[in-house]
Amino acid sequence: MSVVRDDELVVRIESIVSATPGVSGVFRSGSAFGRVLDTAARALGVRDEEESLVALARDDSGVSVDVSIGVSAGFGARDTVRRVHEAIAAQFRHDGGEGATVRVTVVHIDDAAPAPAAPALSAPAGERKVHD
Amino acid sequence: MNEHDIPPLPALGLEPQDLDGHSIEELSDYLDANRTPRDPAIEESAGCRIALDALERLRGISAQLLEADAAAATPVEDGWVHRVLSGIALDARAGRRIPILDDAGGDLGVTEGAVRGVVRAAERDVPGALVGRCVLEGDVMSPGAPITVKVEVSVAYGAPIPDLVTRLRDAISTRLRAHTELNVVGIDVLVQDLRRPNSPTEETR
Repeated sequence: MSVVRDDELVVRIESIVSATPGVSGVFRSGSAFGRVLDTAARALGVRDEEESLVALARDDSGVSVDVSIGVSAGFGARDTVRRVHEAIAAQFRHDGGEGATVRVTVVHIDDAAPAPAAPALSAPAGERKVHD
Repeated sequence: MNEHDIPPLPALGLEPQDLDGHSIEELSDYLDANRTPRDPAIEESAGCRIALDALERLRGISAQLLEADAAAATPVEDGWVHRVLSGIALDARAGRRIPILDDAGGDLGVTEGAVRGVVRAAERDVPGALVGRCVLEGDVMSPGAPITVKVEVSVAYGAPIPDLVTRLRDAISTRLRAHTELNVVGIDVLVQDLRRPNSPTEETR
């Protein structure tokens, strides 16, 4: 049984991802057709703008999380995507629940962003400040 | 036609999903409005963001050329603009998912569209160069497979082409190493257009 409701969990994960050094944005996951439908739904005003961009699913094998991110070029996509994965995995460990299959995809690299100071791996949300 | 306008587009052969239901014309209008009011459907679409990045760079060059056009006896040939725009729209598609290996067992990757976008951004480092089309040839989904990058480039008239191509190749290589684990065995640069007349501001960019 889940300790945290799924709708709360995806909001928390999105917050963790957004606060990870190098992440310039969180994008909608899913198929190209699904994103076109999403655009149409927005145009018709039938989509909740506050809906999380993180996809979470449960089945018999457990929880799976799918996140699409933008990266500030100075941080490097390879390093940033690993930090995001570690931050999400740390959150699941912190919650003490089941492990999760985490899929993270870089979908945009922001080449105009400034170069960074060297970042450290993120701590779980319960152990740090989250900037919204 | 103001300084930021781009010529009317020929049919680009795009499907709605290529830019998540948006068109290059919509994105151009959105830039005209300085991206205000913020449109979440555009800003949260990776394809649109990749195309917007490229369109913004293209506009800077277009404005310089229009200034040169106004001062020249003959109008600037704008076929290269259409070719670059076609490349922007096609390259913004997500394409294949390129794996990034992870010791911690994560399923990590970067889209082909994001990689093409960052390859295109190498033009920032090479004044006079404008990337039209970018193709990753090879099995990018198999780690270690040999990959060849092919880019088509428009070059400002008067720019030393061998030097420009060398610098562009270096800039692309640096970006690919920073963001991917691709085994790049070649970067082929095809100079497809010479942009005339040359703008003085282009040379000092």
